[in-house]
Amino acid sequence: MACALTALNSTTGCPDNTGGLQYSYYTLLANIASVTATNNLITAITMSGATDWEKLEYDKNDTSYFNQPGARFNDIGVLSYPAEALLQFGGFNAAYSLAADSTGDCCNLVFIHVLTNGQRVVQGIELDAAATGGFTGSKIRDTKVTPTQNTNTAAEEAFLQYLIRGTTKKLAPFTDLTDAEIEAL
Amino acid sequence: MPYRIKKAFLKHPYLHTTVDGKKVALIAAYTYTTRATATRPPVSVSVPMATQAQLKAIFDRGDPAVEKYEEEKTVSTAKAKTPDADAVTQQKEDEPE
Repeated sequence: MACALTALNSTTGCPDNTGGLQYSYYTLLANIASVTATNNLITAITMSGATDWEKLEYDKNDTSYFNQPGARFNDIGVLSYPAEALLQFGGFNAAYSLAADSTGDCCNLVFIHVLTNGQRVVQGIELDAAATGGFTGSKIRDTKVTPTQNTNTAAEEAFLQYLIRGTTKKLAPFTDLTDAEIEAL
Repeated sequence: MPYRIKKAFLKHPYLHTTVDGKKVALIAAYTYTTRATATRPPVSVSVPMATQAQLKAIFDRGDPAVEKYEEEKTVSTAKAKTPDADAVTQQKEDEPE
């Protein structure tokens, strides 16, 4: 994207600045065949697989987040975004272990995080009009899940955590796909 | 002009998307079974093939998987007569001598 200056103003209109995530959907990058997007907003997705998006409903206890802290190589060089999301599922059981093991084996994943403020951000995809299908996966480092399963002590909570990391050249795109549209895919 | 899926996407036999909230197949209609969950038994789902109108809608929204194409004209081996030639012949027959 070429250099351009854009005015921003968060002091009027009261933009919803509530942090955190409500829930997410995820699929394999290989399940996505093409995306339709305008101005960094994905408006439609065409899928290549018969089984597609799975929903992740995690604890609402102020632990979930999706962050993209920009980083420059040698402070002034190439810009990249080591994106990271954390999802925490309370409990400790065999079903969680099974899910975590199978998700941890996936090399390239795509997540739609539904934020507390209602926005929907897509982790694991970069829009690229020149690429087949109009997108690529995370360009610098693939998006993968690193699961952690802790019992912790009796004074604490047992949980399964999905730490989702991938590094991109650009900030994550958004989508206006509704739950019904994602689940219908 | 009709619409079709680009060659690069034909390798996905279950290629599909949604149009107006409905799931449609883009290569051929297919049926699949959803995974069972703790609260829901497996369900068999049939995905119909997209109609030309739906393909047009997918193309119009900018999906890179769909393209417009011109239908190939079928070449007849029979002696070709143009409508104009017929008209001329008919006109000649009608003319008084």
